[in-house]
Amino acid sequence: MTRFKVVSKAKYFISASIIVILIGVGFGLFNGINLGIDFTGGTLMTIELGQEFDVADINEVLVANGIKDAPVVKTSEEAGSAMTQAQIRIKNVDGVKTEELRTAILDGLQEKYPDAVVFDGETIGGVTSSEIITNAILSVVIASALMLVYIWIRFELFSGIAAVVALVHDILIMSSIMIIFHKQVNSPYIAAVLTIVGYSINDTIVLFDRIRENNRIYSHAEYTRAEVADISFNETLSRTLNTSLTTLMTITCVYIFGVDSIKEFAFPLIVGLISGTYSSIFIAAPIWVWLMNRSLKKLGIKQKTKVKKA
Amino acid sequence: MKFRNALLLIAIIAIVGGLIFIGITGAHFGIYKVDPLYKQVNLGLDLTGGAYVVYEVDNPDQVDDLDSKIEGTMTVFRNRLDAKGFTEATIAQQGTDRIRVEVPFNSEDGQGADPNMISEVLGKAAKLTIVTPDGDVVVEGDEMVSAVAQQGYSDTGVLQYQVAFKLSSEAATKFAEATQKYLGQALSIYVDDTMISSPTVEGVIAGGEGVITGSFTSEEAIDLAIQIESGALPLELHEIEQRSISATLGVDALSKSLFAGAIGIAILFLFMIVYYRLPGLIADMALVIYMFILLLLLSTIKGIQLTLPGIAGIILSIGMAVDANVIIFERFKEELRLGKSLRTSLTSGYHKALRTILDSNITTILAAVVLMIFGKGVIKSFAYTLTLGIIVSMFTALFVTRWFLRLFMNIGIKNKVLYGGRRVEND
Repeated sequence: MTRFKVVSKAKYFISASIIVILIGVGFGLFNGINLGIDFTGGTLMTIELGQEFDVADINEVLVANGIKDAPVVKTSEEAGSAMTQAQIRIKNVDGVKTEELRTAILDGLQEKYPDAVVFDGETIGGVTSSEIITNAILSVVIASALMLVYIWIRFELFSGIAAVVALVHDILIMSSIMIIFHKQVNSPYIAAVLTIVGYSINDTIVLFDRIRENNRIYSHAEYTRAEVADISFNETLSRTLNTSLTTLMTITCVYIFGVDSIKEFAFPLIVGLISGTYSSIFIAAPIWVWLMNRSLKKLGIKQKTKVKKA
Repeated sequence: MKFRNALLLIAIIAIVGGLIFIGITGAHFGIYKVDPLYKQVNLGLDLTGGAYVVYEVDNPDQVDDLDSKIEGTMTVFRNRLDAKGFTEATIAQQGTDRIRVEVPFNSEDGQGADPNMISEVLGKAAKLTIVTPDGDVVVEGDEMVSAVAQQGYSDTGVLQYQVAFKLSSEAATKFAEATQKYLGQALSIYVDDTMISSPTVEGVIAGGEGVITGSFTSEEAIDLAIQIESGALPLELHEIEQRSISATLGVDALSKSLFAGAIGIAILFLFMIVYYRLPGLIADMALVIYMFILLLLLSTIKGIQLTLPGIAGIILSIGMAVDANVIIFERFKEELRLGKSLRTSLTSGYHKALRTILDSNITTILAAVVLMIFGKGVIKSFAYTLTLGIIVSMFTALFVTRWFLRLFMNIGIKNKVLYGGRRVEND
């Protein structure tokens, strides 16, 4: 029945996760976090100039409008075609109305490049960017609290705590991977994190549901909780793998074939899906066992002796 | 019994197949026309191309009666956008002191992808001036107390639309002097920089009331009256957020996401059949129904916009819809392998799976609801599609799949191997 024993090897799995997170912290300290415009605020605009252009001309217009050191990147609408688009990133300046600034820049460019039009762009004010971060943190905290309460009611407190620890683990792993690969973090990342918070709990619940069922079958007298967790894990293994695989399949296709803006969302999702499955088996279950054993000890309930049943 | 069930199954497959066909291609029934479902879904700006701008009121604490002023500003916005032909634009209040304006790309005239133009349309007051033949400005827009569109007779006796205005008392005095000075000459009326009429002064106008004529339609007269009266917007606003997506990018994003989704789903369907055999096939049928219901809901529920993350949400929810089926089938298989009959296994498998599915889905919905409340824009629309997806997926797994499984058993397909049992359990 018990083909794989995971609980006894939990320390290796937990260490592996901690190492990934530490590497993430290290990269974050030395390499920085690649924050997108949603977090930093500012204006990002792509201007189609209608012809090949000189970056110096763009800089000249920017400086004339009081903007220094704004990065200008040459791009094209499709990979391989002529680079006729300029992508400009401008920081927010207090007291300057962005709509007027944009118009002034475009007017300035049109003097030299009469066909210049705004291709696409984005402006995020300082207020908006700090709101995004506050809302994100608030959402995660509230969602986790609600889940903890729900699991507490439907299961018991230890399952709830273990599930929330697994969630925090997933968020840390996702963030670490984003930092290690220096991927740009924008608001789709927040949506991805919250999706994983919702999704990863699924795996944990399915496992705990089996543990809940098996707790009634396997008494404290005859089985340790570690053994029950291992049995439950093995029983739900094919479901866990199949579900993770099917979800991974669809989202990986989206990552491979989708456009850039959807990739920004799909990449953290893939990381989160893998981490979510990993954490429910290798993090949540061992933590539950550990909490259970501590409490059993306190209550003086001995395991695997035929003295009494809990 | 067998025959009746077989007929029922064929009928269901035919009806569902027919609905899905209509959903994909659209149909004509005499005078009724049904558009393909995916065309009825309200697409977000990131899929159509277009622009949005979020304005915030300057110093909202110092504004009296903020709500009604915001409403007033939104009306002015609406009128100005309509007047410029952006009838598909949406204007909504966001929070207490913000207004969000969305203008989808208009494929007919190619307008709408440029936020600069939106700010120009919205930010501009119609400035009315009355200018003497010498080029002096006698009256300016903010000196007008009111402007109303009305019908009146022209000099030649034709009934036409015109805008009647009333001046402030100081402006009335100036205006009276001017009409006296330039009696018999033409005074020009400008809206912004365009001269719209140049009537000849036929008598001294002392009361500060006058009429602007200029062969207006009723709408033009109303728009002009609103623009003159609103002159400046009731509120001082500044832009805090703006985004524009070119139409090519939007269309590209939509087609590529649909393609990616189709491939992902195809692989998924194949996997289910290979791994779970007959129940896998049934799950695939249930998934098709699931997607149909989801699209139907997305196209009928107002206020839900399908955005790029929303598509990812749907594709993800398909993966999760499979999960409910997987949980049921694994339980079903376990019961079968305990040596129970097909029907008993189905009932007890479902019974045991139900609790798991409810617990795991409710926790996910909790997270999605939090997103709906705290998320904004794109994230909110993602949360809506995800929640909708989870609810529909529970319904299809718990009812549709089960119903199909039972039908297949009733028809007499009773080989346990087909349902995932081992060969030995088959007698």
